[in-house]
Amino acid sequence: MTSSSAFSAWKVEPLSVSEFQALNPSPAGSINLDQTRHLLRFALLAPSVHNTVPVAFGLPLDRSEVDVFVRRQHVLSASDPTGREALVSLGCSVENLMIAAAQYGIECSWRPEPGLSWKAVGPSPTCSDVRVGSVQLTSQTVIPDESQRRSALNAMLERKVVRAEFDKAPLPAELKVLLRACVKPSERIGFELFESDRDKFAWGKLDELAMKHKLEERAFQLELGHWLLPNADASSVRGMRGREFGFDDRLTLELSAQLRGEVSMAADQLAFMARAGRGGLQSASAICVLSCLDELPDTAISAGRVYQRCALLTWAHGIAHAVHAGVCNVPHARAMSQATLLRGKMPPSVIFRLGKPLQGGDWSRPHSSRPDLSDVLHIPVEPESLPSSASINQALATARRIDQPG
Amino acid sequence: MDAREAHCCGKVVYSARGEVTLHDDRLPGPVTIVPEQQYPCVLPTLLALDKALSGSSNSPRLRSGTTLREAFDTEYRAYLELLSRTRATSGAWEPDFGNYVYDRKTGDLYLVAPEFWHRLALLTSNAKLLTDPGGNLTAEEIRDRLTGTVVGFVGASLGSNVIEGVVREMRPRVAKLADPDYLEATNLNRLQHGSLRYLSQPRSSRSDPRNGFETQFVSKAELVAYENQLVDPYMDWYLYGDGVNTDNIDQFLLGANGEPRVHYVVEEADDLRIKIEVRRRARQYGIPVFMASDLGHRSQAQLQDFSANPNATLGYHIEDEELMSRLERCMQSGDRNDFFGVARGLVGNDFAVDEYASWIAQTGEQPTSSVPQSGSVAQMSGALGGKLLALHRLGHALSERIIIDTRRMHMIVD
Repeated sequence: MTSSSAFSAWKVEPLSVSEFQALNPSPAGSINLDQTRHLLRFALLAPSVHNTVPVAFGLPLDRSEVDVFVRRQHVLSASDPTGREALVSLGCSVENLMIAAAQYGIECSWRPEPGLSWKAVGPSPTCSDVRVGSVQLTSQTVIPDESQRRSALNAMLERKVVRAEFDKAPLPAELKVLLRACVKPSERIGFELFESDRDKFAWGKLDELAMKHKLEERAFQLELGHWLLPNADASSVRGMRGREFGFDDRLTLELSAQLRGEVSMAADQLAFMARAGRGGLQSASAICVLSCLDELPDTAISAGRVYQRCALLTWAHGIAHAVHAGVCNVPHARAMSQATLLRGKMPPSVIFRLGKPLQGGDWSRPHSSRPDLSDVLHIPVEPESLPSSASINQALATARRIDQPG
Repeated sequence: MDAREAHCCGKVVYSARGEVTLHDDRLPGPVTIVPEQQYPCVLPTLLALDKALSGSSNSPRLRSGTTLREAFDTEYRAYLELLSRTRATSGAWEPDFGNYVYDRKTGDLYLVAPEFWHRLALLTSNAKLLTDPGGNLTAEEIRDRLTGTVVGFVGASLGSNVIEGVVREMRPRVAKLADPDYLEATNLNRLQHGSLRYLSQPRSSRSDPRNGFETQFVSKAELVAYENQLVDPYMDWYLYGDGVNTDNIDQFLLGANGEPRVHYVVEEADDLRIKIEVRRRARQYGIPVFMASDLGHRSQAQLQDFSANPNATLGYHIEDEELMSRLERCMQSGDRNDFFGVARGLVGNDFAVDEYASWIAQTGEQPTSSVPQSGSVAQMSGALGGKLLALHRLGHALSERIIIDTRRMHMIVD
């Protein structure tokens, strides 16, 4: 992979409606592969846990639809043992696909895979992709006006997670109304916005507690250390560069080596990292919590779709976001938040903060890398780039053997 | 609630078995308090004063012209007479003397000596150890000055030790306390008044009493203020349960709507931005800032007297620009070393010695992932806070920084 290919996904030129239609010489009403590929380029821009991009797409030749697969080799075995985070990530991709399609007058509907179980979506070192549902594409006549179209497509192209300190300024009231409207009743997703200092502090403390707990897990450290990439890495299409967290080159290299256990780590380093997460949450204008029951894998996809809708909406209004996964990934912290901050309602599925970066320069932090579209089209292939998930999973298996007594 | 008014207006009614029925508009309805929850504290308080107050010849003279001892004797005689009369009166339980204090948290009812005598009892043993530099103030004037001092505490963990030092030494009538955090078990080596009672609110606070995950934590600010009010129920506390922030810091410092301006800020916050913002605003308003630090075996006390020196820097021997630059770097970089850069800017470059330096350097065994804090050094920091603020309030000049090294048993004064 070249430097340009790891980030070239962000250079998609949104086609005009006429350009898009010109891709398909067939009679009106059908959607061909070239058009679908254009839409999938937007799907690929969606965020994912540790930037693993655990998604794959199938393009059946006989139907106007996109099959969506979870690429289990990219599901994080230590961070995401059930695959829930990966499915949230897939939900983000699905939502991007549907939003992009709508800009070209294509109506989409999501059909979850019947009978899909949690067991089928967890991490697996093998290359077996699992179909989790499909997006039906249907041409319609309603096309949004040009400014609306541009705005929607540009929001996907510009959006990124900004893991920086925010300025705490209150969200505009009209934006809060629009945010609440992001959840459709049929999705069965709980939506709560926490804006008081007290609530933000409570979420921050719980996130700190959860992150510290998670960071103390050797397997999680090792996994995070592998996915935290040097800033100078120009080729890896998956994983997170330290600069996305505001880390300089030296700290990124040092931290990832410490997490991998290659060099010693200060006793307070993990606490410092956990504490930084708390600081981020406290600095937010608001903390948004999406909750749902985990009864079916599809609920996680729905949560991801709602999250992405919120992220794009707020981005278009000049508000940044950052996900805090600690509480959702630590069962006792999740149960605590459900019982207290969420007042016994459904458990949290996605927790993210909203706000404007305190330092204007943080808006310009770089995007994370993405694989080429061909990498995620459904012909399962071992990715050429590092870090190799299979090698990480192998390392994790070794770490676990070491951790086991005797 | 004044006892005389409580008795005559039927707000406190004793039954034949000694149960009290309490009527008060601030309660949802009448409350019955059994004798096991009633604490008659007046006589024990006056007994202690009788024993402690000095005789008439060198008893401090009050503005009324009588001596303190004479004033006490008059009050004490009257009380004992009332007590005897009450004892002889059928159906009477307590004389019309003192004030009732009802603890809504526990359901306990206290009958407390009048404010002057109760608060005097809390200070009597301090005698006249604290004086102004010239020795010109009377005991009453000293007491008035210290009582009238308003201290705003930002941070209740180590800060609770400074609170303890201040209330024991100065016994102010009003204080402010800001802390957004709740008590954690690991705070118990240094938080004054912390106990099992405060690791969690009672089961009844849960929406599902059986849900073990539903831990409702207890605010440090609330527990510290509550426990202090059990010592001095006449003390008023202004609590900032969300901590101080850019929105409320002006009110915290300057007061508003009857809330007084602070004479001192005791800054013991965790949040680096708040630490510096408190100093910045306090300097703007000419309010001295005190900070006690427990740095390993060292207790360090710093007073930045922005009242006397409105152009003083925010940090310790560091230009504001450099301090702010370190702060921003720390908040941006995520680098542990940058955190210590800010710390050095606030407490000085020489703060890390002995085992504390080993922790920072991460040499040898290190059991904790948070900054080590010695419980006894925290206490000493509180003691320094109480003493130094009282002395400063009475006009003594203080050094900018005082360090007591409990391991080497020496003192450094800058």
